[in-house]
Amino acid sequence: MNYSALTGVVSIIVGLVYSIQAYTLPRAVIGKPMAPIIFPLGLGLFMILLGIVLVIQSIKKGEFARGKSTTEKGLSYTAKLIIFTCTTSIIYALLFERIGFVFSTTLFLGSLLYAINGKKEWKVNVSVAVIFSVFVYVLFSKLLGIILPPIPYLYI
Amino acid sequence: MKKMSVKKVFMLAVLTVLVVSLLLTGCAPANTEPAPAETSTGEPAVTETQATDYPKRAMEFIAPSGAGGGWDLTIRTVAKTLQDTDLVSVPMPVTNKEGGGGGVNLAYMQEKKGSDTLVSVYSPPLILINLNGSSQLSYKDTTPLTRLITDYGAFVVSKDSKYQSITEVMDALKEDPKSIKICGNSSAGSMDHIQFLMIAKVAGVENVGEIDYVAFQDGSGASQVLGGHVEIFSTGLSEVRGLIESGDLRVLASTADKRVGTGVVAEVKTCKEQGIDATFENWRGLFGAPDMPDYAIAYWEDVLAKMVETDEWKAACEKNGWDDAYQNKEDFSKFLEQVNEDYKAVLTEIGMIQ
Amino acid sequence: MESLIYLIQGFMIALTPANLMWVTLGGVLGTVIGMLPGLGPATGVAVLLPLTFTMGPTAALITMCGVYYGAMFGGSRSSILINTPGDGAAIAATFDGYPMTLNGRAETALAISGIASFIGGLLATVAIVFVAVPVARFGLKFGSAEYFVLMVFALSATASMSKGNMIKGFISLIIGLMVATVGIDAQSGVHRFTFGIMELQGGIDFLVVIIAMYALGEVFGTFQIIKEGKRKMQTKFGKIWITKEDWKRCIWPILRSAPIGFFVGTLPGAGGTMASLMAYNNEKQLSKNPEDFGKGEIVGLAAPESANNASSVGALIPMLTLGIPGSGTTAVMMGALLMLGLQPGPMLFQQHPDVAWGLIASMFIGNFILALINIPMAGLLVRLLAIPPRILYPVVMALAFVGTYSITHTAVSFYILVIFGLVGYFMHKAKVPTAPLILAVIVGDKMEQSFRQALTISNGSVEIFYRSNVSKTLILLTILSILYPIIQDKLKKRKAAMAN
Repeated sequence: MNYSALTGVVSIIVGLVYSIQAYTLPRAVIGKPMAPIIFPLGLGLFMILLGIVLVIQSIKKGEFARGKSTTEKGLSYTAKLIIFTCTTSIIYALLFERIGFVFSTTLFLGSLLYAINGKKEWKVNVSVAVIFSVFVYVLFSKLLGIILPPIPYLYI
Repeated sequence: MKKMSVKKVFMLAVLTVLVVSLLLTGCAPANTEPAPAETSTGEPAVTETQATDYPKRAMEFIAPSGAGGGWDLTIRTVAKTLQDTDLVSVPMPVTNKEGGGGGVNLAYMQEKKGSDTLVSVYSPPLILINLNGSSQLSYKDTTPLTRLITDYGAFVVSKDSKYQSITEVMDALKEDPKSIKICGNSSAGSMDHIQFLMIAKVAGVENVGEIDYVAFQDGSGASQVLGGHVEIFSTGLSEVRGLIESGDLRVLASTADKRVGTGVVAEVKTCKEQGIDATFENWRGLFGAPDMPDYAIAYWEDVLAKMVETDEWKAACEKNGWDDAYQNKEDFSKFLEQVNEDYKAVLTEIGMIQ
Repeated sequence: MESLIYLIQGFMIALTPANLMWVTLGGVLGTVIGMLPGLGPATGVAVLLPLTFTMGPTAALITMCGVYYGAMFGGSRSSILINTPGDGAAIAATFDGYPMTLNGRAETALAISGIASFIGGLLATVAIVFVAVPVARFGLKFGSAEYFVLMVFALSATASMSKGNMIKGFISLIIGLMVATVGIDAQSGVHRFTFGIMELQGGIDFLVVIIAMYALGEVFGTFQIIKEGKRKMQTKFGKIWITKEDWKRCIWPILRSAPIGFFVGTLPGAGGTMASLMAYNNEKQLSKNPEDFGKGEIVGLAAPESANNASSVGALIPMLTLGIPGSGTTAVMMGALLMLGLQPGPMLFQQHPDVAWGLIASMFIGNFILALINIPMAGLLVRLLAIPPRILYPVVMALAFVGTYSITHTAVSFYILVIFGLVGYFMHKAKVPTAPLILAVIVGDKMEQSFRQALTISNGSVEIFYRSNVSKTLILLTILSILYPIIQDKLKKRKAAMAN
């Protein structure tokens, strides 16, 4: 399957799930009961329709079955890095308010740099991560008054 | 090359700090929220020393909305007044914690249970988001400290409107609830909506749930009424002062129990004067985290009672068109209980509470 | 010309050395804030709120003007250099600004962005002096029905402009509209797609979506290129200026886009994003070679930049003349005015002419000063590109998270950021355009709400949508915007056939 056909299939699935979710929304007690549901339901159905059209288009062009295979051997470098980034981001989100901005960001940026810039450059990685975190913290929390989570117990 | 070594030393220093602090936090208990006065969970041990040197570190003042709104304005004014009058000497930085109509901050306050540094501002939505199901938490999950000020609801029409009084509007609604549209800047089932329905109900309109309410969430309610697209704008008295002074808008009635303010605002008739025996207050008060320690409650009760007597506070109220509505903790708690029942009655009437 | 006399008095107030210093400081601060992803003019002005306590009203307002303008200038800097819009209004600057950087024309891009912003802002400020009140009165003609038609116009123009596969353009649009339905429905109070998560009740902030799609999605897409070191860092930098030829091509688009931006800006709730996208679409339709748009066409950067700044000035009109804030930024500014004890509204110009006209005069001055400090600042900023991408991109990602937190104040939004980063990456892979999605996220909620508001007001009659002259005109424009590309295509084909 090529990307166009895949997009079509994904659109149909998204449209279906969304429509069902929309239909099962609670009915409104203020105003007309169906008023908040009609628009999302319409969106969902329209999405399904668009997906079908896209699939038909690619079948007509004969791309649907043919297409170039997207399953490569193992995971590509990009895919690995994306999975790594997303995992790190989730850990970051979990730690952010618990251990404060400076530490969590140093860890987060440090690991991103480790993955992208390589471990050979660890000195640069560590200094960039630390300087960035401290600088942003001072800039936001102290100078701009946009309070970022402080370091626990130290209150600075 | 000398530069390099300086860099290295610096990096080493930074690294050491990092590692040490990581170790420190690593050793910390799972609950890493700054615990109040270093006491862990359970009843905070109140000692005389704690009470006398409180507060010793910065407070955490929270506006549960974005910058520039009513809540934000209130708590910033409180912080400034306390600072200017030297009533409180520790810093009181204001954080904006918006979301869920105040619900996000309410949930945050639960995390800070027992904190002696958190002070937040709230108004009727605190109760409404609980009643309309937006939040499981209610005012009972906070420590009410004091009621400070109140604004009143106002029902506003454009200067060319055919309606001259609130009773005319109510008579028309009694005949056909679809004949007049009401708009406001908050969502359906929230303050602007409820305040109109509360008055309409007392005025004798049956099936107040039938009355159409149009929500303009981006604050464009006033321009919609000015442009003649909607008949009545349900809002706060102080929010439309400029347009009343210029004569572009007319206020049919305020929901106050007496005349308030100065100038044109003082000329606004109340619902009561027009024979509808009902009021609605957009009160604003301060709240601490749930289970706020007694010494902190006592401190803030005392300080805030002093603050409302200062000239600085009175000047700020005058400037913002706020009506002083000070109530101490005890009265405020009773008041909250009462309004909770009042709002509940209206929301049940329109079917939002089954 | 009473207003001119007041304006001169305003200049005398604003031109004191102290006030000049404030506006310059504000401008620099604003530019820095504007450049950070997610931090736009609204945050910039909000940051100043506590400071306004200590300044006099005039100095406070002048500083705020500087910050406001600075943030508008700064927002597009990061769009151009790292494909990460500082705020919504700077999205359109990524369309052609970032490709220009990739083509090695970052200096020209920064220069034209500054020049276009300057001219747009200047024209709009002149307009505010003369037509503020009538324009504000005209804006009142926009009821719910008119807003709905306006949104439809903006969306259809954007979707039909997405060349290649129109179906994919619509898919993008629908995803955006779906995202916009998340949150509490204002008309009924029903919770839609919030899944019991409190942070979703207020909806998904469009800025988070933008940051995710551009900052994260873009980095995801370039991992391979970064690894292979194919993306070269720039080491030589030219002068921040434009050629005569660039100037000739851009001047008319800049002049045309300013009024669009100004007017859209005056409409509460429409704002800079819509203004800049409409200007972009407009130029693309007028262009002889629309296929160059999105590949580093200088006109595609100049037009939205001009509209963007013009709209930021326009947005002040409903606040100053009616006391109705039309955008997030003006809402914060109004809060500041209230704290200073001033009541914005029709009486402001009568009761406090010194403040009102001082503000307008400082907008003139702010515009000039920002243009002056922007050229040398751009010379420094462009050196960002000398940082190796292997370091720059992780830092951009970290900034995206910081920006997101400062908008939403909750780490829950980090998950949303990651999800939309992935969506952006896959859309990029599948060649689904992202611009319709972004615009739909921004206007989607207001579009649906306006539609239902109008029907409630009319007791269910659809006649309300074509009753007024304003909506009739907008409907006509919508039809034209859909038909025009088709007709243009047909004409081209016929010409080609004739030539053969």
